[in-house]
Formats: sequence, structure tokens, C-alpha cells
Amino acid sequence: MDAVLRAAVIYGFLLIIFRIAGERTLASLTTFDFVLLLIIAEATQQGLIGDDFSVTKALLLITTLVGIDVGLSLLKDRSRLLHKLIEGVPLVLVADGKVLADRMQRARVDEEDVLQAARERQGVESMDQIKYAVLERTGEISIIPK
Amino acid sequence: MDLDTDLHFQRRIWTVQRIGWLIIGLVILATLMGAFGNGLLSRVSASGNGLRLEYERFGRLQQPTRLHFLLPPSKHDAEVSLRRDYLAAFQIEHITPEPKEVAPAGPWLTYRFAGPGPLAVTFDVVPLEFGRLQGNAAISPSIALAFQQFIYP
Repeated sequence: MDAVLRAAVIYGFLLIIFRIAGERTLASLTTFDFVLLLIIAEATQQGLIGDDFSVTKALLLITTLVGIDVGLSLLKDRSRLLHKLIEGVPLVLVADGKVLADRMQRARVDEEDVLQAARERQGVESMDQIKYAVLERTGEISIIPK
Repeated sequence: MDLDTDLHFQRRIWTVQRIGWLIIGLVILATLMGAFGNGLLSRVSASGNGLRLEYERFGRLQQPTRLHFLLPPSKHDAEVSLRRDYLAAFQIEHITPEPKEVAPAGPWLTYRFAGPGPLAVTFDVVPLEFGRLQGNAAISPSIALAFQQFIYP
């Protein structure tokens, strides 16, 4: 019984804390972010497994985690609100070449991030060449040049 | 551009995120203070008529915790009794010094040690249940104390 409870609690907690942290937190994985992710995984594992190292427990945990994931994706298809809550919504940062500064600030993105994405993805070199910049739900910035 | 944005929703999420950051900060602060065990808020003591107990108010499931008794001076062998329903929530790892005798007495379990008090006795115990636990320790009906612990899952 506790395998299901542990998996559900950890799943729910991770979902909430990463939503609170924001899309940008682990969006572009730096070396340090990667190490942080490993440490989080390690801390999670202890809580999930406890002191029960049996194969059964591992299988039950995996089954529960995948089950919750599938169940949630089915629910997301049915409920727009749940979908938005879990996945977030895309945010326009630059519209028709106009920088929307207050949104950027609240989303913790600066112009330099937008320009970096523009250079990397579109080979665009300045802000006035950007028609739209969108902070996607994944935390990445997509660029539509003029 | 064909994009399903929702600025109103996004603003609400931002507000919730700010509140969330505040909560994260408070949780870290509370942890440092010992609200989840091992800290200022957690280390407490109870005493009654010469019997003294130092213990952790907050513990965690399956994490060892310690009850440190100071038994008052006595003519006979020093002893302390604990409620059996409290002890049922724990696995007792060590008792230092080792009791020479453990005897049930109604709802109590009496630990008797070699030699008279005063005596410092340490119980190292591992919580097997979580939630609020009510503990009672006594030497005699007049020398008794009650204490509460909260064990996090």
C-alpha cells in the first residue's frame, strides 16, 4: 500500500514545486542544473524506496508512477483548466517587434535571453528583426523573425 | 500568429508562484529552526517532581530519536515506567545503561536499573508510527510527567 502512497505524494509534490519554481528554472540545462537535477533525483529516490530494497517495491513504484502519468494525461485531454494548470500557457514576449518588458520581468526572462534564442535558432542578430518571441510551455523561447 | 495564450491565467499563475516562493522560504526557515526535528524548536524538556526528560518534540518515521531521562535520587534501585501504548509506537534500539529488569505493571512497563538514583538514562528509539504521540513517564503516581511528540511520515 505504501508504495502507491509514496509514489503519489512524491509525484504530486514534484509537480507542484516545479510549477511554483517556474518554467524557466530547469529549462536550459546548464552543467550545474544537471547536477542539481541528479541530487533531486537522489533525494527523491530515498523517499520513494525507504528501506525496502525489494524488486517488488521497485516494480510497484514504477507501475504507480507510470499509471499516474497516464491517468493525468487522460484527464488533461478532458479538462482545459487542468491542462493549463499542469502544462502552463505560452506567453508572448515580443509582439510585432515590440518588447513587452513587464511580462519578461515577471517571467524572469530578459532581452538577452530572447536575443540568444534568436541567434541560436534563427540566426537573427537584433531585436528589430524579431516579429514574435514566445516563451513556450517547456520554458524555451521560440522566435519568429520578420 | 495562431497561439493559444491566456494572459489572465498566466498572471494568476505568477501570483501563485510568488506565494509559493514565500512558502518555500518559510519551510526552509522552519526547517532551520527545527520544526521538522533536530533543532531549537524540537529540543524540549519536561519535568515533574524531580523526574526530568529531554526529548525531541518532532521526529520522523523510522529515524532514531532519543529520550534522555534524569531520574531523581532514590533509596532503592532507580526505575522509570513508560506507558505501553506509547512504547508500542517505537522500536527500542538501546537503553543506556542497560536495565537489569523490565517488568509490566498494568498499562505501564517498568525499567529497573542496578543501583539507586540519581541516574541519567537514555532510550534510543525508532518511531514506527507517525502522527501525534502521547507519552507518559512515571516513577510513582506522584512523580509522573506527560509529553507529546509529533512524528512526520
